[in-house]
Amino acid sequence: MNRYNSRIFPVFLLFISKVLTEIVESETGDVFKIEGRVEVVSATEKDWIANTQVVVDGGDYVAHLRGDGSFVLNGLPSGTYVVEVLNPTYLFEATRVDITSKGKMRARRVNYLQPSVVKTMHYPLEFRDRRKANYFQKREQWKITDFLMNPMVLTMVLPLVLIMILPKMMNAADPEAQKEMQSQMKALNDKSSLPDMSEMLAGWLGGGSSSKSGSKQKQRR
Amino acid sequence: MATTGGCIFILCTFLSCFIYSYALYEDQVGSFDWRQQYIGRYKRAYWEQVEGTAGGKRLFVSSEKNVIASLNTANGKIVWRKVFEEGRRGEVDDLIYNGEILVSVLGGRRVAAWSPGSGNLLWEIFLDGSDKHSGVVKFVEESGLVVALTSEKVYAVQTRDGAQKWEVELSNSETVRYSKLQVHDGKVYVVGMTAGSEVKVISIGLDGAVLSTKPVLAGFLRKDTKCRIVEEKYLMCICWMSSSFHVLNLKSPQGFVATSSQDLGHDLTEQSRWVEQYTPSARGEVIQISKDRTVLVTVNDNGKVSVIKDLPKSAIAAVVSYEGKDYIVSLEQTGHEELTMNMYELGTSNQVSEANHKIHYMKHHGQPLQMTCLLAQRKDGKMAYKLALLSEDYAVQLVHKSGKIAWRRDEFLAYAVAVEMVDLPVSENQAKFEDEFGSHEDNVMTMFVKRVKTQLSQLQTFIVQQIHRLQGVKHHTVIEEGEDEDTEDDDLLRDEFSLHKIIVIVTSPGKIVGMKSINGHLLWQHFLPELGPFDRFGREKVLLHVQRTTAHFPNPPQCVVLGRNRASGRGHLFAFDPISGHSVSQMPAGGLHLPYNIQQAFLLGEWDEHFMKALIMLDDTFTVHTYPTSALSFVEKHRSSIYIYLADVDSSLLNGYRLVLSQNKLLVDNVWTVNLQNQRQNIKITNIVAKSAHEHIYSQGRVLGDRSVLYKYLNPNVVVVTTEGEEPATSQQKGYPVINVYVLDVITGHMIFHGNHRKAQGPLHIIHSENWVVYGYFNTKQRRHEMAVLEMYEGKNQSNATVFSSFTAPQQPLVMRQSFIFPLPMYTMTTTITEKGITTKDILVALKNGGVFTLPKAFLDPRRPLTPTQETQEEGTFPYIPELPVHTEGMINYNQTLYHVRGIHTSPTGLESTSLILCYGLDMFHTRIQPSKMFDVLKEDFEHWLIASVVLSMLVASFITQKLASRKALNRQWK
Repeated sequence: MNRYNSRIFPVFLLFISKVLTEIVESETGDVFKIEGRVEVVSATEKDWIANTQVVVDGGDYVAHLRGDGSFVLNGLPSGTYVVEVLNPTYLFEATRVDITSKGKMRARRVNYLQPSVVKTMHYPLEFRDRRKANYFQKREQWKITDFLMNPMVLTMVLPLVLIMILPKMMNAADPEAQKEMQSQMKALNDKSSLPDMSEMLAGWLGGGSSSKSGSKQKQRR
Repeated sequence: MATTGGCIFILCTFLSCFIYSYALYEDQVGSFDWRQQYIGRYKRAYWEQVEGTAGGKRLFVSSEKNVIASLNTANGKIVWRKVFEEGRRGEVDDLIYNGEILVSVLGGRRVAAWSPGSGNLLWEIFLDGSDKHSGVVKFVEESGLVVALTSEKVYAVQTRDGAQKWEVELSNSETVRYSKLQVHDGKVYVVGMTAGSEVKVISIGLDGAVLSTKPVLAGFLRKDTKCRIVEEKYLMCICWMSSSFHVLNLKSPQGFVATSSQDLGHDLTEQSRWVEQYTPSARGEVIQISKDRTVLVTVNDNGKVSVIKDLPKSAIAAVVSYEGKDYIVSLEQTGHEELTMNMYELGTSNQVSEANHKIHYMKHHGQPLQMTCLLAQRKDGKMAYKLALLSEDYAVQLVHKSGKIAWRRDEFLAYAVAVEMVDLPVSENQAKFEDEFGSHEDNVMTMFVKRVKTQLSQLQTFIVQQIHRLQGVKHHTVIEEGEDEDTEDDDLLRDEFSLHKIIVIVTSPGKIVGMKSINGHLLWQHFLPELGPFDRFGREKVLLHVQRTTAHFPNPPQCVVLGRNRASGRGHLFAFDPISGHSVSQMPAGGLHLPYNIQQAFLLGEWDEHFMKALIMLDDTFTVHTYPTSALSFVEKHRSSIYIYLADVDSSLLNGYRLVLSQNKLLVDNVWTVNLQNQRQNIKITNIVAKSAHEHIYSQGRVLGDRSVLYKYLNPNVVVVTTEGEEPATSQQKGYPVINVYVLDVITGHMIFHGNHRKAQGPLHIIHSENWVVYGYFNTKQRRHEMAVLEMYEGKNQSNATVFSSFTAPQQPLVMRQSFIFPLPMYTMTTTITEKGITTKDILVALKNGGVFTLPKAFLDPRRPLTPTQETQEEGTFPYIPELPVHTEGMINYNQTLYHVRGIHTSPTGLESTSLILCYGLDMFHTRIQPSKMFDVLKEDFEHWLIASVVLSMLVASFITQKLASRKALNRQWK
């Protein structure tokens, strides 16, 4: 079902055997069968069997599973096929099966980029669930850590630290510097340089003294 | 350095936002999507049998759509369903049930046994031989065997495990058609028929020894003669030409005994048929003589046929056994929409009064076709029944208790061939609003009066709504219940963003339905038994067009369906209002049977004065017709700008025509011919794909990395034609399949592009939109599925930017192309459509693994560079990777597997970001998708409270700190 992810998340290669398993089917004529088993290790209940299908080339041949998870795909002429296990919940790795005109079988990994590369796999086929399919996106939740780790917040916190804590440390160190700093602070705290928020608001709201506007603010809160 | 870093960062975010461009949140499941699962037209049906109880809790069915399923008879839901391969291999030829096991024959040679409870496969065997005839299976209860007949052999296998006991080869299987199998009295009888000459009866012992082979002369036998085994030991054929029944005793096949049907008081017609019986009855067989006459016949010991029960007026009947007695159940059409059910005890001809009921049977189901009945004892000792009834439109209804319909399954929806989504009408108020601003001729005074009037009426409705709200909540929970369809009539108004629509679906049995997109419930239905699909490149096709949308109040919207008449093969047309479902005036109830064959039909791009787009049809005498016929003069007036093209599939010729007026008839005149034939390769046209008429193109060009604009080649008259053929083998080389892709202007016949893929084969899946074409094919050399993209550009300058004309078409466009590996096989694909075309496009691919996958178009971009440079990064193209990414997060139908998808329909909504889709096939799935995420509406999880509280607390904090600061300053002053 999901071959791309198999490359993104490198999953342990299940069966890497360099031995060619040659099983000659004693079928008459020129049709052969592919046999195998499907196993879901992570499932406790057996109900996955009912909605699992084994398909060849996307659905040209379909097999349903027997109660023990085994399957037989009948009536395939010689050729090369991609065998997949389909289940809405679990994901399986697909296998390519080559059947010669004499009925020799070979199972190998599916590789679309380099189709000629042969990495044989075990035959009769064994499919094991690799992981559960994830169809959904995680909803973003508001977390305090996310907020704090936000680069914007970090860039604001750092200058704050510099402004608030560094002067204190310097104060303790040197009285002259402290004086200098104080005079700077005074200049900073000069009323005329910093517009009074409440006064401004009071001005907008129709005049009045600062004490009045303060009471207004209280009401607002 | 910094800019490169920034670019990479932007690119990464861009990529990641594309990769997860569409994924649902888990809590959104089912909130705006729904899936409906179907089975198809039933072929066999069995009631569940449980030892010691009445059973009947399940109904096991096999269908024409290669499905075996178990239905819950209480509510009609599917308990389990097995879907097999499309085509001959997956066809369910026969299904038998003995109370413990279900045995089926698939594709003529696969015999499989299923557990009725869970639907699990018990065993499957594969038989030799060809699959040209239907397989038959029968139980041999006394020896625990199943006998199976293929076109060449008879097999006996153990019912328990499928182990083969014996096989018998049948002689002359190339000429004799072995199609009947019967087990009777410890012997297996096989009947082979040769049309026009003889019938061969082979009897085989249960140990596999052939006891006798007897040919019997049967001169009356034709290919379509309906024969069946009656009462387990007679072969009986209905021969309507000689109006007689022919009976052969299988136990001693001496010769056919003919009984004239006139002797029995009936005339056979071509429509005379056996009424399908699922449970073998010991007594009698039901024959439908004509549409409203059914008889129950039996065979006497001398081989003569006699009538047990004559049921005049009866549409359909079935024999049921219950507690050792046989009953016949019949249905009669007694009223306009009413069937009457009668039940008689056989032999005594007593009518059973408990089962005499009237059934409400809707007209739009057509004739009843088949039924199966189950009788049981109720607790109070009375007789209870369940009746599953299949109608002509493939709907199945379950009738129980006093003729009530317990449930209905709309199996015709598994046969959808054309889909269209129509906007719901606006409310009366909004319509007035449209009216007010729609006209430009009013003077100031009238406009002012209108404004006041509208506002008054708005106020009035507002007050009325408030009163209603105070009086109590009106049905909002009813919709959740789902079953009640009548309570929602005032829901048929457009919602704020036009997200809810009416889905009009045309199906191949001839049923046309209107469905609410919000929950998939049917609003209205029409049944046109004569309407059949056209055959287009081997696929079923019915044309469905919206002639007038809902936007033209007070003119009602109108849709038109054009198909092929089943009987005559000529055109068959039906026009209706898609909202109410009413047919337009002067439209016959069964549709309009046109007196000509349709060669080509399309909707004109222009409105007439009633905002109606005319349907133009070209018949096989090259005469142009329109629907409505009054539009002909309009078409005549605009004939200079109308061109028609035709494709001959077999000769691979494309012809272009213009309209000419001669002797007051609108005819066509050949303008151009393009020959795509290649005799050596035996090429056939397989697809012709034009652009969607609903499409809006927002951006005329594409901004490149150097800030220049590459203009798109936006020729609306372009179609994509594909041909497929086979390069024959030579002495040096094996033969290989070939695909050709042509892009041509159908007004002038100008060939814009021709591409060729060797060692590639179909089925081709094509999307044609804006200035690009995407197609999927199978690469036979590398044995993988691939997708290719073509994009056409005019270059850095734009010619005829305002109005496009094919006659002054720009120079040969730049065609860029690239191909990619798409790792999964697919059923079909399409692209999203949005209101204004601003949103990026997604490719929707219905995969054969059951998923519907969204792939952003940006991945299928021929400008993806092999080595990324700063300029390409600036442009925002991803580096070329041969494999297209497929991941489960992109499956819009999450775990809701869809089988045998035949098409995906996409439709824009009032929201630019959102597009509605409907996938149809065996299952139906509807959802809405946002290719570029929901950029025009706040997300549902937008945290209003958090933001409001943060702003408020900031305000509060600023005042408090300001107070504190001023106090501190004051204190400092006092020092």
